[in-house]
Amino acid sequence: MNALLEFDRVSKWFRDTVAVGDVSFAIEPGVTGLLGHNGAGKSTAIRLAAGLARPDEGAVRILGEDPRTSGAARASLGLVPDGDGIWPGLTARGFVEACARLRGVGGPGAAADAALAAVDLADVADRDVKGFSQGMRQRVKIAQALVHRPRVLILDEPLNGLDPGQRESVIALLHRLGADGTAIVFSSHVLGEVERIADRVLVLVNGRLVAEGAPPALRALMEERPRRVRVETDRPRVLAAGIAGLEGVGRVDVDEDALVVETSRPADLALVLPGLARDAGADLTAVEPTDEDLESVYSYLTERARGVRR
Amino acid sequence: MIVTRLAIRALLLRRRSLALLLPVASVPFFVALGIVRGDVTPDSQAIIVGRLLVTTVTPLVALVLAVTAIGDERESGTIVYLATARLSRIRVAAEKALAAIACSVVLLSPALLAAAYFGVHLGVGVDNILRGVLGTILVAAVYAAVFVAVGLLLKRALVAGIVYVLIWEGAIATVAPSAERFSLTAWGRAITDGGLSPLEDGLVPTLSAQTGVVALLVVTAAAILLAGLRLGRMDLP
Repeated sequence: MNALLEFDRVSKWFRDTVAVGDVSFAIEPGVTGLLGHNGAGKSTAIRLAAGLARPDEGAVRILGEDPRTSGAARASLGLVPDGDGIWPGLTARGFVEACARLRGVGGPGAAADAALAAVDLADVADRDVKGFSQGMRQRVKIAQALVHRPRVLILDEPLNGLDPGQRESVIALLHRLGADGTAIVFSSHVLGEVERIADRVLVLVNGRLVAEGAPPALRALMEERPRRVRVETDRPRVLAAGIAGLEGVGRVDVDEDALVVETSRPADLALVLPGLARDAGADLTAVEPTDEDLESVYSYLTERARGVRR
Repeated sequence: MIVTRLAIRALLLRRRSLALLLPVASVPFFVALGIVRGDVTPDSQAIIVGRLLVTTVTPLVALVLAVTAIGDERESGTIVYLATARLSRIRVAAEKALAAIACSVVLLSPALLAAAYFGVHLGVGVDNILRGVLGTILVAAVYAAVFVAVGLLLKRALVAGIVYVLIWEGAIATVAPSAERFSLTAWGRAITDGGLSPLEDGLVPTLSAQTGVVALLVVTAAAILLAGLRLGRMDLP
């Protein structure tokens, strides 16, 4: 059986820049998160998946067909773009109904009402979209993507601009659609967000797929990675001698008034560090991780994917 | 025809579209001036309809609307809703051109009515008045189609279009007889002014009205096909 959405060795570049490089994956029903920092290639991957951009190499398929040329593939696709554009002079119902007509939905008015109800906008369906908040516009965009009951739903940063209540509502909707058999792909640069929503995560770094799997496995992978901890002290060399012998500690770099420790067990280091400092007669002025941001996590996964780290 | 309806609504809500009524108003102005001054002759009819309405005003109106029809979708990002619809890209291009034509006819209607009134005043007959209307609409159609395509091919389609209208159509093609064969508006003038007589030499192209109709329809269809193919091949935001 064909995957609902498939990337087969897809590459896309803009002049000398590789936006997506040799990426392959297959999407089945359920919720898949596309995780990556800004510029990682998420939006390009989404444009490729929706048939808005053509791969320079490889193939994108929805239900086995090219979304750029196949009307049937496009009919199976719902897209929530990142952009905020909506045709002027339309109510929420008017906009969603227009999208239903574009996709050949029978009974477009009723379909629009159902889609707006699904995103909790039934009460404001007759208001001009121009006066909507960003969160409401985002939900209108989700409604238009659902109006023809697509089998594949692609969302570019769908939680942007939503308040906490709206986020919960959209997350519940995505879970429900995923459980009902829709293949959902959404992009995000927020790890915690992806962990909460997705059954499966694809991690893109610099256009390359560097990791994929269930969120717990990915979290474990990220937690296993060596961390770098900066310790500021008045006696870095003496303290370094004590730290170097600890279990899990790899490398220790010493500066004039600080040392940077690479360790796979940062929690253990935090526990023993005060005792070591006391024994060495050293004052600790600061202890802080230097690589807890997502960029560092991605860098680690990239290096790991390239075989630099094992 | 949902793409056409959406585009017409968007075009008529734009201030830029309403600003086009300024050049359109020049036609009723010169019609009124001609009647007041008693200058109601076939030559003045050919100048008002052929040179002003068909050669200058109609191309400007149609090209601005066509470039806006496609450019606004790209700028606002709403083009992704059309691109992911279950419609062929050629149909999307054709509906965009149709919207630009319909809006052009609406905005040009004061000029068409004024030109028709001038024709009645001159006593040129219903045939010639209808030729004027048909020629103007066909020129609007060809410009709408061509500039939907140009809007997909060039970033500065509006500037290119205005330069083309003013320099090629408005200057070179009206004074150089050999350029008539490659002028969209000369084909239009062959329709609108071909039945007027007697006229000064050079006021009306030597092409037949039938040639003008066929040429304009062929270029309109070719431009829509080109626009559809371009839309199908290009990457969208």
